[in-house]
Amino acid sequence: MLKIYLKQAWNLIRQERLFSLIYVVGTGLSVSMVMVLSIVFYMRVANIYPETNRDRILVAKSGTFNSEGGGQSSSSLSEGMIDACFGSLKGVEAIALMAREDDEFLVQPEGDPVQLPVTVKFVNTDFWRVFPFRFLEGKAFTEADQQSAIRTAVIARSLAHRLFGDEEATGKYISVNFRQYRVCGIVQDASLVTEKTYAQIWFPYTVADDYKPNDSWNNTGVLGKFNAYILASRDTNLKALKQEAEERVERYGKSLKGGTFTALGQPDYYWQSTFRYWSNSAPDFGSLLLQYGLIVLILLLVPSVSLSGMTDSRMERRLAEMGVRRAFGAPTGTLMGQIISENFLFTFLGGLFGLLFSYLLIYLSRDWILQLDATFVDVLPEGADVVFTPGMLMNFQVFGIALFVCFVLNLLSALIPAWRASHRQIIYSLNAK
Amino acid sequence: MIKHILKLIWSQFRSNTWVLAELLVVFVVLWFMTDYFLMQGVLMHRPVGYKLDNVYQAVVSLRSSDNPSFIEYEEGSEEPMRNLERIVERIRQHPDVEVVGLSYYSLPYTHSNIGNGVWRDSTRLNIRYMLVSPDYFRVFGIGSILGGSPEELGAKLPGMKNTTDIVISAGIAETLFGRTDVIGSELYSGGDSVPRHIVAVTEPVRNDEYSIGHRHVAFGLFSLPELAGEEEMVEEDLTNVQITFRTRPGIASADYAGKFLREMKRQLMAGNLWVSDIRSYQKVRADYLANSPETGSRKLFSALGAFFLVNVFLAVIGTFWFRVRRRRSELGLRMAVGSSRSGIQGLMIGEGLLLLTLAMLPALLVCLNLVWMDVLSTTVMAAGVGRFLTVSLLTWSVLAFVIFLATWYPSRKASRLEPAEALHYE
Repeated sequence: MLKIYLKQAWNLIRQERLFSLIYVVGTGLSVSMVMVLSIVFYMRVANIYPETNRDRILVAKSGTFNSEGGGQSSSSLSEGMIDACFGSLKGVEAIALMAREDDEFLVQPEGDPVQLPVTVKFVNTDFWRVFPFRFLEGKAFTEADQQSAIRTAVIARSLAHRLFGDEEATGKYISVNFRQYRVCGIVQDASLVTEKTYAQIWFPYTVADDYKPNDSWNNTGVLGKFNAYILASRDTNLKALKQEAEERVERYGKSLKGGTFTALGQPDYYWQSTFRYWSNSAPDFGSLLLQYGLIVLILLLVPSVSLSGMTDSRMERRLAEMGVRRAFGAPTGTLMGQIISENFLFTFLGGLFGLLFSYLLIYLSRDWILQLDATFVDVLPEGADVVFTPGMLMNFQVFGIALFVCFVLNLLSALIPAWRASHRQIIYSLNAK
Repeated sequence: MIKHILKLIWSQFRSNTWVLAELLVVFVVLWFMTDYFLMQGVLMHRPVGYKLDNVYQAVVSLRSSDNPSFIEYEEGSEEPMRNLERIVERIRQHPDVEVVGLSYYSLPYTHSNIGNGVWRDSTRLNIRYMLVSPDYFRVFGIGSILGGSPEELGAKLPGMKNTTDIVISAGIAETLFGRTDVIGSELYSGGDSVPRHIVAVTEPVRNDEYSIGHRHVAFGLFSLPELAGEEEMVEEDLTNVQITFRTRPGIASADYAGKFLREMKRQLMAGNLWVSDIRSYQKVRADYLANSPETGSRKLFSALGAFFLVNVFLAVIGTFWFRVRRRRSELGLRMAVGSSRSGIQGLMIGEGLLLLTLAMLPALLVCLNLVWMDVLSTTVMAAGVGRFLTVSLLTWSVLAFVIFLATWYPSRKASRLEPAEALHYE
C-alpha cells in the first residue's frame, strides 16, 4: 500500500517540477536550521575525541566565597577545595585538574628566529585518564614528574611534525617561552570543537611559573585557578554521584573559617557546564531549555505554516480524486494516512537536502557557530582552525534527529491540509473536476 | 481597484488564511530584526572620534628572565624606564614618523580600560579615565569640540598637573550638562572633596563603533616617571605602556608595519625591552570588530532574517501557484472583456501586496504592544513615533519586495493564458 502511495507521490513530483522543487527547498531550509542547532549542541555534549567520556563526567569550574566582612569573591577553584570535596567520593575513577592560564605561550623552534604561538594547558596526570587521548609515541608524564615539577610536556602531533619533521620526538627538548621541556609523549591532535581540552602542549600543572602547593586566591582556601573534571566509573549512577558531591560541597562550604562558600549547584553534568560562563551566578537550566525549545519551535512552525499552505493548494488540485475515492467508500482515516505518507516523501527529500545544507552552513560558519550563545567571543588561537571529523557530523544520533525533525515537520505541515481535503463534502469534491 | 482586490481576497479568504497567518508572524519577527539592524546602523555611523589612517602601535615586550642576555636591574633602578624612553625616542627620530603618543590602558578598540566615576549634583556617571601624553591627541587627530586643534588640546594637559583641572569628552558634557560649551563648569571626580574645573572639551570619542558606554571619557596626563616611581612597580608593567605613532601622509603602504619593524628591529631594543610587533591601527580595529560579540549576533540575525524571508517567499509563491490554475476561467473572462495582460499581472501582484498590508495591521498592533511593554532596547535611541514608523515602513518594504518576487512568476503565467483556452474551462 505504502509503495503505491510513494509511487503516486513520485509521479506528482514529476508533474509539478518547479512547485515540488520549491516545496523541497522550503522543507530543507527549515530542517537545516534546526539541524545546525542540533549539530552544534551535539558537538558540545556528545562523546567526541578526546572527550569520549563526557556522559560520565561531572564538572566543577567555579565557586563563590562570601566572607564574613560582607565581601564576595568568585573564581575558579583551589586544589585544596577540589581534593576536600571530591577526593574521597565513591565511584569516581579519576579527577582531571586543569589550570586557567592567561599568559601567551610561544615556542622557539630550533634554528628558526620566528616564534610559534601555541595553546597550552596545565593539567594533572589523571587528565589523561579522564580524557583518553590517543598516544602515538611515548606516554603521559608520570606522577613523579608531576610531584617534582619536572619540565616535561605532551605535545600534539601537528606541533611535533612542525618542530621535528618525521623524526621521533619523544625524549627531545622543546623551548617554550625560553624554557626547555622534555617531550614525553605525542598525541593525536584534537579539534577546537573540544575547546576545553584543546591544546598543542600539555604541561604538568606543577611546572607553571606561579604554582605553589596548596595555594589559593587571596587566602580564601577555596578559590584558585583550577577546573575539576570528575570521571565516574562505569557502574556509578551519575545522578546519585552528583547529589552526593553537591552535598559535600555544601557541608564543606559551611565549615570554613571566615566565610561561606558555594559552588552554585556544581558539579554540573557535562552539558550543563557548557552553559556556565560566570563564576558568581548560576545559569537557570529550566529557562534555558525553554528558550531553546521555543527557538526550535519557531524554526519549525513558521516554515510549516507556509508548507501547509502549499500542501493545501496541492490538495485543492486533487479534490476530484479524493471525491471519487470517497464515493467508492474509502474511509477518511485512510485518505488522511495516504496524504500524510505521500507528503512524507516530499519532507524526506527536503530533510536530506536540509541535512546536507546544514553541513555546509556549519562548515562556513565554523569559527563562530560553536559559540552561538556566548556573551563574549573567544578569539581563536592564531593559526588554529576548527576541524570537523566526519564522525562529528555523520553519525546515527544526528541522522536520528534529522529523521525525527522530518516527522514532526511533516505532521505540522500536512495534518491540517489532509484533514481539510478528506473531510470535504463528497459532492463538492466530485464537482471540483 | 483596491476595493476590488479586497473583495477578491475576501471571497477566497479560506485559501488566504495560511498566507495571512504566516505574514502576521513573520512581520512581527522581522519588525524587531529591522529595528535591531537600524539601531546597529545608527550606532555604527556615529563618529568614533579616532582617526586611524597612518596610525601604528608598537607593542613592547619584556625579555624572559631565562634568556641569557637578560639584565638584572637592582630594585628602584631607573634604568628600565630609561630603556622605554630610549625606544620611544628612536621611534620619534625615524624620518617617516610625525608624532608619537604614549598612553596607559587608554587605546580605542581594546577591552582593557580604567574606570572612574564623576558627579554633578546628584547625578553619577561612570566614565573611562584615559591617561595619555599630550601628543596622543595629535596621533589620533582628536581636537576640541569648539574647533581647537589637537596641538592646543594636548598643550592643556601638562598644565593640569596638581591642579583641579580636568579635560572631558563631549559625551560627558552632553550627558551631564545637556550642552558642550561647559568650559569652566565644575564636577566632582570619584572620591574628591573639591570640585574639578573643566578646561577643555574634546570631540566625541568612543572605544569602538559598537560602544555606547565608553563615550564618557575624561583625560589625564600620563607621565612615565610617575608610573615608574610607583610602589610595587615591576619591569613587566612597563610593557603595558602603549606606544602609538602617526606617520607622515603619503608614506603608508600595505605592509608598512612589517617593513618598519624589519628596518628598526635592532634599534628598538633597549635593556630587557624590545618591540615585538608593529601593528597598523586599521588592522587592530578590524580584528577587534571581527571578534566582537555584536558581529557574531549580527551574523546570526542576518541568517535568521534571510530564513524568514525565504519562508515568506515560499508561502506566497505556494499560494499563488495553484490559485492561477484555479482561477483560469475567471482570468479568461477578464481578458475576454478587455483586461490587458499587464492589467492581469498587476491584479495578482496587487493582491499579494494588499494581503501583506492586511496582515500588517494586526501585526503592528502586536508590535505596538510589545514596544509598550518596553521590550525594545533604548540604549541607542528612545522608542518614539519616528522610530516606530521608520521601522514599520522598512519592514513593509522588505516584505513587499519579497512578495513582488514571489507573485511575479505565477502572475506572469496567468497573464500569458490564451483567453479562448482559459474560457474553455468554464
